[in-house]
Amino acid sequence: MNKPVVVLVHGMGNHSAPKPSTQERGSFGKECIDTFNLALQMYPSLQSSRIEDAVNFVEIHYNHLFDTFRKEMAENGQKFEQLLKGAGAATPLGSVPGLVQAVIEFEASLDSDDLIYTHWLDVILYKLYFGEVVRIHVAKKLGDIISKNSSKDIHILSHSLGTAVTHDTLSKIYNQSYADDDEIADLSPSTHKLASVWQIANVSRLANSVLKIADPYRSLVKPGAGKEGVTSTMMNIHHKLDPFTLIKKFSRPDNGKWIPKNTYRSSYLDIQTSAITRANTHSIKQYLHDPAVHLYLFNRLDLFRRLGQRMPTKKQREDAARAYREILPDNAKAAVEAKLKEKIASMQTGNDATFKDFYVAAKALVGIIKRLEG
Amino acid sequence: MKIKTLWILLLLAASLGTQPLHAAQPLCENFDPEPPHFKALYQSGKELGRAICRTFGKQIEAGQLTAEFVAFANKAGESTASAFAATAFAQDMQVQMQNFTTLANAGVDKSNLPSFETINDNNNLGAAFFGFTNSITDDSFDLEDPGCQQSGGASCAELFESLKIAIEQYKKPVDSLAGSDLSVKAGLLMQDWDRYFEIARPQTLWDALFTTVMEQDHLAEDRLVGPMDRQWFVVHPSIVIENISAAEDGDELSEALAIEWVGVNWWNADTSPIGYPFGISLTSVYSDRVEVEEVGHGLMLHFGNSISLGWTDHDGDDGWLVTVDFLSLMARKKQHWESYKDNLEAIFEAEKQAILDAGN
Repeated sequence: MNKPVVVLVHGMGNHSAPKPSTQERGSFGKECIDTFNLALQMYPSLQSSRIEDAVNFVEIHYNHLFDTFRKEMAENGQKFEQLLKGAGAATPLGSVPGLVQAVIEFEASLDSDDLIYTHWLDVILYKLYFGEVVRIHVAKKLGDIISKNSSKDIHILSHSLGTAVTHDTLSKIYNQSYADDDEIADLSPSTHKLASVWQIANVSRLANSVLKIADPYRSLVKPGAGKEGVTSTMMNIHHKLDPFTLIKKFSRPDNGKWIPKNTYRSSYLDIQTSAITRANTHSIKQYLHDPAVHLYLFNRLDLFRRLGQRMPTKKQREDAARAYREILPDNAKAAVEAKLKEKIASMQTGNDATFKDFYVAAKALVGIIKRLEG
Repeated sequence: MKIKTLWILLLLAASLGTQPLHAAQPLCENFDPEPPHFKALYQSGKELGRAICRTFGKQIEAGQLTAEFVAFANKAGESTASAFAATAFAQDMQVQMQNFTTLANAGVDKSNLPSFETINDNNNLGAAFFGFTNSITDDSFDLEDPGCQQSGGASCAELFESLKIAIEQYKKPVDSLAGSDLSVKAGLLMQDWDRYFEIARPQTLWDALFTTVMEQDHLAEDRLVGPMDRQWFVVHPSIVIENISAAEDGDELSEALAIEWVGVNWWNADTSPIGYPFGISLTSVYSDRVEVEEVGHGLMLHFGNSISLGWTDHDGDDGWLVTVDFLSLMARKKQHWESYKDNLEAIFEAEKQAILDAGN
């Protein structure tokens, strides 16, 4: 039996790269796999099982590209700043407009470890032409993965900024007019259809609001028969108190316009979670640990049968959901929920929100996490 | 050498390069292991898979391989008719196989080769939708249907798993080659970007933002693209050496800060309108001199992504400037400012003379 392949695409922030030579996972891969195995512990018959026995995981890591861009710009800025200062009185730095000084100082600071540089700057860089380099990098890795596995066995799990990277890359490489005798780097939505795309904390619509790569509501990145979609199935997973997912939220009704109703029923799932187990409702752990999420992912992977087990009974599933909801005591949950609701109420959300609102949301979430966890 | 031939050679190299030579598989022999059921169908799938794979990179003529494809689809229909005869979904299986035969009769279209798959029903655990990826069933069916054991000799889940593998072989090698092909082509685009970052003028974040806005039609194309032909600059600082003849004796040649308020640079000789990298910027220069206005405004011309020459007007006094782009110089070429400074006087004279000659 072929093992399914789950391709992991991380979000913004610092993520260590996998090291294939030593079989060392990257930080995002480790986080996902550990959380999946933690999830298996929630079911009595699966406590000795490990997901890697039935599923191959491959990480696509692009964080290093942002680091390179940031560091190169910072180095240039710092050298320039030093040159100006080193030139002494002969260089009239003090008499140039403040705007120019601000540009020089900003460039020189781009390698800072502050959250603004390691997280939000990633989003900004992705929206600039550097994003195309990221998409090409992801496409190249995906091509390597398809060359070794049937595309029908490939599932893509993306988180946060990774959802935009995945959406935009797939949108660019899947082409209804695919031909194998031309020079275009592409695939066919029919012949090379993926098994599934799991968009967790989906920001693909927000990320499309500056440089418009492809509208997630109109692109081929959807479940569909033949050439109508790049994947057999798709899940859109979001927490009701994850501020990132409330701005230009990805939300498709079952009205037959986006995809046919029968496809919607068999192949698409929108999962909104609500349980709170940690201050960071955006965390990948928060999502994957939740039975309301991982049971559907496991079902799509046919994991229980692959592990030689039956699907947990209804009672076992209900017990797991209850245990998950009780990870945090009620008073702690209430505190997190109240803070998040307060911040979300003050945020501009919905379709009219902008990148500035995203930044405000992100700052709010980070502030809450720091206060509650610190 | 034709581009298509180059692709094939690159693909071959990539395919061989990913594994030791002794383990290298021929390009069209990338198959899954034989499944426990539907073995005859699996073997037929392999034969068709090899034949389709050999056409990779070439157009399929009308009718080419159609007979083989139809024979394979018919065999799939016959195999499944008997294996699932006693199940509740036997009829739906036949509809799926008829659709596959209809597709096969239309000929091999490499952009439309569906897989056979099952999708577990999220609302009815233990049941699954099934079918080809261009026509999944509308209803899901019980994977524990006893009819599978009765007619196929195994559980439905086991039969489906084998059937998926047996059918997949007709497209498996070409799927694999397409993955390698994508990787090679994306790698070539990455090389183009590497070259851009290596030789184009370094940009600040603001330049990158401006360039992205100005070149968004290119970047937002519905395919992966290499770097844009032009770079744009806004409030871009650089150090220049400026010569103003009207300045006090000994103060004619001085370092200055140049700000390119807005500029454009054709960084790539292949796509530059003049066949050589060049650019132009509206520039202000700030210098500290006695007897002449310290701020001058004018133009800079950029050549070869590294050297810029310019003219500025300091309230009636001409300034002539030159810069070796410090960002490029310091960041990449590892050379030092001082090594250039000694030669600058000569460059100024040549520049000034050239412009005067052009004026005459």
